[in-house]
Amino acid sequence: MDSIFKTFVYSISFKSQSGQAFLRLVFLTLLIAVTNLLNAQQQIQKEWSDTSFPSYIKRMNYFGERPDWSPDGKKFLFVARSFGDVYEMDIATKIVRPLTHHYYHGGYLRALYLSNGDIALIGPKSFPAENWKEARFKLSELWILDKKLQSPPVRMGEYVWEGPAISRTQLKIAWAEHHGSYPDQKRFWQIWVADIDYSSGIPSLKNQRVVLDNSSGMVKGAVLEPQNFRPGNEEELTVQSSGQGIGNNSTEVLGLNMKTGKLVNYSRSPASYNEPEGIFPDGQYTLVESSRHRTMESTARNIDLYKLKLDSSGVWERITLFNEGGKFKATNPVISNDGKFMAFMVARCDEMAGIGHGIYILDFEELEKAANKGKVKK
Amino acid sequence: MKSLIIVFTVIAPFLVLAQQPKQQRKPGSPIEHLPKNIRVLTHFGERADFSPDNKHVAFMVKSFGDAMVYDLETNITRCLTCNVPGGAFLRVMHLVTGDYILIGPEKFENINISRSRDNELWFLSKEKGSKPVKFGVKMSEGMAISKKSMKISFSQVHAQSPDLAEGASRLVIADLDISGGKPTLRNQKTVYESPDRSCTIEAADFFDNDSKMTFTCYEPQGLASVMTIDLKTNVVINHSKAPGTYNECEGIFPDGKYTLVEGDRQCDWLGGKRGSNNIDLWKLKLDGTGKNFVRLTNFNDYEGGKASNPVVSTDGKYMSFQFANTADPAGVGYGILLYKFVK
Repeated sequence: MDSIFKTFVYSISFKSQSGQAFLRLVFLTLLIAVTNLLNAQQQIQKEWSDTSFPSYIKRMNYFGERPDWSPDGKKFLFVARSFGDVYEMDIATKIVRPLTHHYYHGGYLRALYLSNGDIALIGPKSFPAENWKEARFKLSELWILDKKLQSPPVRMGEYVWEGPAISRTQLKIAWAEHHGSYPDQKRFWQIWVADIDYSSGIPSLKNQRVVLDNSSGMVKGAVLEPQNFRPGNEEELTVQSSGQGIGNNSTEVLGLNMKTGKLVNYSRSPASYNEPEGIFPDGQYTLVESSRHRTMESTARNIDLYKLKLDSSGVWERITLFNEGGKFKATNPVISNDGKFMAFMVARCDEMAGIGHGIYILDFEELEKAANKGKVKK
Repeated sequence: MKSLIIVFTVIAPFLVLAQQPKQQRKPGSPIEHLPKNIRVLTHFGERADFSPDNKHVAFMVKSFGDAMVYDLETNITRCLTCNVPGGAFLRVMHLVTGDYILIGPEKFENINISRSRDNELWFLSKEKGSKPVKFGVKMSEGMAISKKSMKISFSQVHAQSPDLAEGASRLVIADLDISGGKPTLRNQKTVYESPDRSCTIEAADFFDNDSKMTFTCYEPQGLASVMTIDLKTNVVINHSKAPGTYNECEGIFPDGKYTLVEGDRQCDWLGGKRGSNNIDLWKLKLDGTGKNFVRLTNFNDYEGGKASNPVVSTDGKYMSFQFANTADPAGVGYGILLYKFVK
């Protein structure tokens, strides 16, 4: 053993031929390692970012968040920022028009088309400059803005936790409420459904009813948020369930049968974040913000966009790769009524959920063509 | 008597005609009838301001809204203040450094209080993601910013400065210092004061290497005059010299020989109430005669239409301004336009 060591020590001495050969080998090994490292770094730099992505995705603008497709798929709504104004972009001309400049308001977090073309708005009556979290999580209300844009929106008298689900075929809405907005009442996280009634000439809610609460059962203690009425079967609502209850502190995609109250866990991914987003027009799939590609830090911070089959088969398809480098995330996707396009946004991983810097549109036909040419990494 | 009746019958129609405007305003929108040298940049927004390199136009999306900037080469619009929760600004202007000055209240309370008493000055760095920093200075309406130095000017009235009597106003100049951690104003100096409402002052622009300034005197009955002050001699000159009309000083041409003016002189032949509502854009030679006055836009030829808040690029080749409605308060706009002077 000692002689082997001595031979080794001798061999690396600069004076011997074998020592020089050894040094060459070490140098070559280091060179290869550095080259690999640089290549890896270049690869990371080629990862998708807010400015670098495949050609089947188009960036439509450079400010705005939370898009929503018009029923004809020719326009989309978006809010300029959290607690900002609402705008509509004509996709063909890229002309952006303001929808909420004609009156003073406390800013909006979300805007969604109703099936009659009017617009549901979510935001506080006035903005408490000292506490934006209170404005977002406690004071945000439901408003309905007439599409003629000649008057301020009508206040519906309901606080809304985060985003509502809006039917694309009926004047029906679902939303979540929680105790914080109603401190004098014993409310847990509840999902409500109501019809939007125009019979008086002014929109109002009627037939309000709770369809799910987190006081018991599979979602006991969970944070609940409705996402979409399932096309083809609007008695079913896709629902996000976070924290306690189903999934054991993960976020799962649920289906709620509003007639029977039966819940189905479609995502069944207890180790990751899976928030249902826009639903496909055939009702067979939903978009999901998911962190399932991550083994470490598999949370809402590290999400990309996936397509999940709504049959409990657990068939997932990854659509975007913005999170591969760990710097960006793709969020808030919605599908056009013809199922051909997805509008979404891109943010940095360290940004608050819902923050966006412009709207992007993915063309599924172009994606398919790229996939057929082998140009899509899955 | 009979002959008098005949004479009156013959003359009366001519007297009525003489009192009526020579032209009528047209129905429709001026946006649908733009000349070739005017281009629509955005379909929303107000109060445009050119960047020092003339590659960008900053603007407000609305009164008490966000500041944005439009890239004239790429047509991309970016938001400058979307990271400010509840931001409610009224104006955005470029400093010579490329940084921005924002004007507006810390929070929106109501139109009058937020636009007058609470109107204040903010610095916004051009670095991405920056947040506005207060100077702690309240001011009236807009301000003048030098295109060559860090000199600024603003006016104050009783609402922002209670030491001033009701109706009085003052014009202040100062140097802006952004070298330390906190932007500050240095060398603040009052250069002109008006004791009453015969002239309520608003700063407009610096010219002649910052040795002179344009400003507006707002006068009773909603009228206004274009003024200049020599900052060395304090000599003040009325350049519009048109009592009974509205002449608000706007962007200055880089040679300092002409200024843009929001003027109502077209009311001479179009009729309508005098003042800031029925305005169009005019170019006035600053020679003290008030005679060299050229109309640049014809938006007020249309019912309800007006052009307002124009600024000139530092190379003098372009003017940016806004499409507005005669029924709205001053400053409200419905889109930013670009006017090319060299046809």
